[in-house]
Amino acid sequence: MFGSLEVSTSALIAQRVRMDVISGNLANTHTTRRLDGQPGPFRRHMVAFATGNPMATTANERGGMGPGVHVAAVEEDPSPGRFVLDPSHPDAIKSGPMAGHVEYPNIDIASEMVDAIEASRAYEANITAIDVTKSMISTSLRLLA
Amino acid sequence: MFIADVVNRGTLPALEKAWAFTEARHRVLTENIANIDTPGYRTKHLDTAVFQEALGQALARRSEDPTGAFELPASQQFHTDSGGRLVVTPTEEPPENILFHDGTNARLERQMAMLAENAMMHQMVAELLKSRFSGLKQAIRGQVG
Repeated sequence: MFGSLEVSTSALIAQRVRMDVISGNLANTHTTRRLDGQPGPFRRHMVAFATGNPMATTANERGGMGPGVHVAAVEEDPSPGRFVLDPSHPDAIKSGPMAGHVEYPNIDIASEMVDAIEASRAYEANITAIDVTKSMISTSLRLLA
Repeated sequence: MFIADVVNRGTLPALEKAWAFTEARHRVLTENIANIDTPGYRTKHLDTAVFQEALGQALARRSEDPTGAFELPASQQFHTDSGGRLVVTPTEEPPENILFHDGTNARLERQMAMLAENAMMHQMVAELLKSRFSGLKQAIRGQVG
């Protein structure tokens, strides 16, 4: 029964990581410089979910991973960013066919919002599953009371 | 052994098996809900119809021979191990027509509904077990009320 709690908890953690990534994307919609200061647009990050809970403390049933879900990777979306003509911008492209354009991140706010809604829906569903688990555990504790 | 006879009378073993089954099924459903956003995940299930039929058969055999052992006929998804415990192996749900964009076939609504139904079944078995045990306790105490 406590295995069910771990399964749902792993899902809560995974959805929370997803929300963090979405928040990062939304915060960086106009970032034109990378982490080391070099010019380059922020690339949209995506999470990849995979079945299996490597943090499970209950007995591992399938090849070292308990049941559940975890974030296998946080990857960057390689698709090209938005180009906006703005020659006065300090990070405008200097030469080549797109000279004078600034490459903004490839983040679509509407998509990110929809992802956020979906993540919170999944979070809620797992909270409900935890509630049900808790009531089942307390029922079994009251069996002999 | 006297205690074993007392605890194995009538429908008590059937309630025990139903209890174990609903608990295992809860785990499977929680896992499905945790993986609602995992691409390519196929839902697992434990078939209630098969279990109900097996219980029916075992009870029918019990009513013919009240002192015989309570044997739950094994199936693909569950069997009883040597210690009398129920062992389940959830299988993938038979594919329905619709696959969502991310390759999953899980409908969150259906999983939540099955979770609720399973929890209520678990509650019902708990209440029945509780009344059985309180009857035993009254007999032990040797008084009514």
